[in-house]
Amino acid sequence: MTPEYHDPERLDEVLALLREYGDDAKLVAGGQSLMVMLRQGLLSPAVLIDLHRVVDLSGIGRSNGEVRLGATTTIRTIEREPMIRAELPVLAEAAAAVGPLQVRNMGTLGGNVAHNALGADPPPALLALDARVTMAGPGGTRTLPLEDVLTGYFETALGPEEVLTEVTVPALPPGAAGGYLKFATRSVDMALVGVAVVHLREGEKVRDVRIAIGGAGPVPFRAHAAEASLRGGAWTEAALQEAGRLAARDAAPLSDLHASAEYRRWLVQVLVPRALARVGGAAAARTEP
Amino acid sequence: MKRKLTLTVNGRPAELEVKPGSLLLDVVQDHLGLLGARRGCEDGYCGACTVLVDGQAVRSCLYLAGRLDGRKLTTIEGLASDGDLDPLQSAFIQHGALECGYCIPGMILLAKSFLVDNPEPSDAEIRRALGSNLCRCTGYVKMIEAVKAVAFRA
Repeated sequence: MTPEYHDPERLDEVLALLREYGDDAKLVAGGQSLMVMLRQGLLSPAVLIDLHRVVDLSGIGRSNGEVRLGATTTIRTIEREPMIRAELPVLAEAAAAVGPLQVRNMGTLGGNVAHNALGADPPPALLALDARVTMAGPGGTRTLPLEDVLTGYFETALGPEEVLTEVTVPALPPGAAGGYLKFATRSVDMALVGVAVVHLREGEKVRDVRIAIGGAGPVPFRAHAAEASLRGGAWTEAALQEAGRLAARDAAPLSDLHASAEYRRWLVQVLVPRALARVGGAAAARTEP
Repeated sequence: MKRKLTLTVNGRPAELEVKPGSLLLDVVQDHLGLLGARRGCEDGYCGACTVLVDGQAVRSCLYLAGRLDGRKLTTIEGLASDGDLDPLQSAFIQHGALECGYCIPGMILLAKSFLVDNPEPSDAEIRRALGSNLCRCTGYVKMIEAVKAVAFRA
């Protein structure tokens, strides 16, 4: 049956519709995951509330040292935005890694986060950037660190009457480098494992490094032990390999028809040093005159 | 409940009365009678139903009809102008870049959208872009050559 369709222009109208229809309604941002679930019969909402006309939810801005990404900003917009490419390359690369062009044209950052699919590319990049997520609901707005929003396999902290409105990312210090490395069977598939790295060096020493991994657990996670092992130390091949081992130790991958848990863990061990080496090279290149 | 949509279909103004929660693929095939947007997987995987909305490639099986209001829809039927084939259509013919042909409308429209943003793509970029759509005759090499020929035509 064709769902009833609403596409209001204002956020308060969206919230009123959510209150009115409750569990019978689903929000549509870009629809690139939701429509698949509808097609497969995994969901059959009576009502769709489409966010495409709520202009306040879209766009990229900057204030108080933060980059603000509206929930319905498309993946393609983020991929191509010169400021993101220059200052937050880890996010631009993760956006570019998202499946087909058609999906990047329509799919949104907020939808991607709210869906919290295994192997989604943007969430690890956002975790490595210490992103925060703002949600609007009946009781007003609240903002949580992304890692508190991604609560479980395809689950988030979003309440049934809440709308994800914005993702904010603190600006990185000058000289920071970043990148995203993904392994998938076909280039347009979800990541079997995706590794996001943000990295700040002082000479040969690592001042700060953040490593976030998707696909290798029920939710993307920060590889804290691997980060700690690198911080303050020298950037050597042995150190990068050790970081890979520590990250693989902390992974809690699942087996599914795409890959076994064992294979995903091995991918973490291989991809973490590779992602670090690639970004380290970029950081070195950027500091040259 | 149906809704009246005002849009442009293949360069001509059109008015449609459809359920806004229905799929663009159904609207294109059943209301507009344009069968070039193929029913493939209907699951967002194969790309055979690709059309252009405001020049951007979208999968019509994952696009809600209500979003069409005020927009420009282009299907493979609208790509030629005054009988002259689009350069991509000519290139696909010249390179023999089709076997059964089922995926070709989606492939050409995907390539059209891709080349707008990437007028001088690398081989790897073309491969990555066309990899979005399935061709089960596996005729990708000639398609890549056809897209390259259009991109680098002087």
